[in-house]
Amino acid sequence: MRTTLAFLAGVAVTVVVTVGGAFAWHEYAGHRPGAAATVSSAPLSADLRFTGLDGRTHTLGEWRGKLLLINFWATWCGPCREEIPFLTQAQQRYGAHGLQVIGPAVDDPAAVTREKATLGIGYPIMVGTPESMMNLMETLGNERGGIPFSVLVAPDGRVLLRQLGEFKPAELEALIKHNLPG
Amino acid sequence: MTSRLHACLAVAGLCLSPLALAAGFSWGATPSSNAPLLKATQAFVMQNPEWDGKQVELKWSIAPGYYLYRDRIHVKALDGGATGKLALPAGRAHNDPAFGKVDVYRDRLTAEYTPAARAAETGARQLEVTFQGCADRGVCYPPLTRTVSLPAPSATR
Repeated sequence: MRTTLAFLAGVAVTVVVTVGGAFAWHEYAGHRPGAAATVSSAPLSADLRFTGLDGRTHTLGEWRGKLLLINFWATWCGPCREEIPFLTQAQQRYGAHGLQVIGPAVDDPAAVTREKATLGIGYPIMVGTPESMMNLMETLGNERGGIPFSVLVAPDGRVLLRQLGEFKPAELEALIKHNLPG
Repeated sequence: MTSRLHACLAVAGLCLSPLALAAGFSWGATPSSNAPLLKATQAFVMQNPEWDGKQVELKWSIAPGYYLYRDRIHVKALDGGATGKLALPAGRAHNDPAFGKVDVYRDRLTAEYTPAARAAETGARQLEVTFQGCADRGVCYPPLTRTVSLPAPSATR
């Protein structure tokens, strides 16, 4: 009787750990920094609005036909600042081939204006209240609220990749090359 | 025969348990380097402040692998009261690739805030506390703001 109970306990542990593990994996995959590759079959709404640092309103539809990299950042975010040179370089190198990088700032617009030149950002910056940017990030699939957070959008508006945390420069370049239009 | 079957079952059960645990950890219960990222409110938990009528003790629990920047913790008196003085302990040196050497807090933090004399007289007991931090894995969170209402001294002590 005791030995049967030992076996049953073993089986119970197997089931509990496996099911628990599967749940934890399902719940959290995609929230790990550097991870997440949720491919969406439905295109993002072309009406999704952004406000440029110059005050102009942009909609996502404006960049249809291009490979769009949306990179949420802030002046107070160290990893975001580290990533900016690679993003600027990518815009310079692949802009003529259909890449468009935009940088919505989860920040005070005044701080962004102050630091823009120092950071040498070579692509359009979008601004708003930090709360509106947090909502926008959530809409785009960032439930954890951390940055840098990037969304790679195909020319037809489908989400190709969501990335929480910095890109590795070589990985970013490979991604861009692989997904450029044409 | 029955006792032999029981013995076999026992051995199988005992062998399965550690295998199941190992499988579970490698599959779902991810190890720390691959663990899910916490939300800011889970990583930096601000506890209820303690107020003795003269000073406010502000306390945080900080999850392992996360840190708060010392120079990004601010307290502001609301209710039109003057802001008092925030005393923060020395932090740990942190070499930040973007900001250089900075002081940060890990694990837990206790800070003391002394309201301005005028605020104490007028009974202004609403504070706005702002703090900001990051995860070691290269993700940072927007500043969090908490409004703290201080109870009357007699209610806490």
